[in-house]
Amino acid sequence: MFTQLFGHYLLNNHIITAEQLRKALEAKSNTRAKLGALAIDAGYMTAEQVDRVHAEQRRVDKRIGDISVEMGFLTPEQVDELLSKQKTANIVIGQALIDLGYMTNQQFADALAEYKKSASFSDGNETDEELEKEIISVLGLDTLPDQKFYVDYILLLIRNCVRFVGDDFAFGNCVLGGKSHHKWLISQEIMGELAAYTGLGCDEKALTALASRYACEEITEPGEFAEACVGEFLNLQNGLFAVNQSNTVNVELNITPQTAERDVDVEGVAVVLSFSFGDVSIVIRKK
Amino acid sequence: MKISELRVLICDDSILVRKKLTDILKKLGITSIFEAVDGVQAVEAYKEHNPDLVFMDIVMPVKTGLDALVEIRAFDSNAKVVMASTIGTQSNLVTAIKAGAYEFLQKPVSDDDVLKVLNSFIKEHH
Repeated sequence: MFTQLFGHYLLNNHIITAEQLRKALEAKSNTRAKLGALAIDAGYMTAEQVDRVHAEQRRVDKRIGDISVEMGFLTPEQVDELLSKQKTANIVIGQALIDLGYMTNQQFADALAEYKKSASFSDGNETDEELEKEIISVLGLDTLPDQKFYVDYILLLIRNCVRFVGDDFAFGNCVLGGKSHHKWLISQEIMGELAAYTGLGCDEKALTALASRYACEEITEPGEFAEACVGEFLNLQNGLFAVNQSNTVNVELNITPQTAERDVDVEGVAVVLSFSFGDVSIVIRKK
Repeated sequence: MKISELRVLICDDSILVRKKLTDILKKLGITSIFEAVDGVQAVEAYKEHNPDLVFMDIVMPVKTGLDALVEIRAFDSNAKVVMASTIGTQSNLVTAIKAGAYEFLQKPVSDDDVLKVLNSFIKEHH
């Protein structure tokens, strides 16, 4: 969940623009975290040392790891450790921003250090409790009644997005009350003790992209099939939410068939997920 | 009986789910595939086509899959109805089993899930 939260931190603090984040998310799948960024993340090297190693590499034909050892910044063991993290590193989003020229190594190091200070975790091995705490803080849900309900719902949806759609997104704005406008809105009611209105709002481009990814099929136009795909994703989310609530707090919930509407204003908590293909809003209104 | 000879009814209001299940069944060589988009159509289609197996969603408009299951079993006590739903809560499972569901699958349903159900049906009817 580092990408989603760090991306939101960068946006919220005006370190990068929404367009830059979108491009970095797009580039993320083809990006590998490099040794310099990994060393900064691990606290083994400063951004200035990384810049010096890169400058040296332009002069001599050697690998970054070897130069870092020769210059006394890293031990060979640290190089091995960092290289083993290259494929799974959660800082790929930072690397993509550096590669695209939106951040320097120093800006990345500063932002990462500040983010780590404010976040309750940053190592990618966060517990559910830490994640819940972080989502409350990042989205400003502190004062919301039924906070646990909203956090459980959002956390599950984030996991389902990563599992069924892709992890190339970050948290965008969160509107706690009032109405939000949606070009397309797929909605479904949760019934029972924890009754709620739920919906996924997006524009045409995001609707077709989301549908396409969930269905694993090429969908180029909005329409009945695209609506059905996004509807089924919402259905899956709400079904799993009902199962979780049944298993954890012994509350039996049911769900209604989904509906699709165009150009609608809807009331509720609206959390924007900024995917590389566009924004998708989660709308939730506890009854 | 071979898998390819099975007659299968798919009941789901989602065009995506019907398409995905149809694709899986066609890959297995099944050609007798019927569709229904709600519980009422499901009961009618069962009576009309007399399928060997039914894949039934729970949350559907007009009539739920659980109500359709009860009606189908009342019409044919040997009907083999596989409930396929995202909402696999304890109460839905218990209700489905009490109503005589043949199997309960959690969505999204995979090729393997379908193949396992079809294989066990074939084994029982060998």
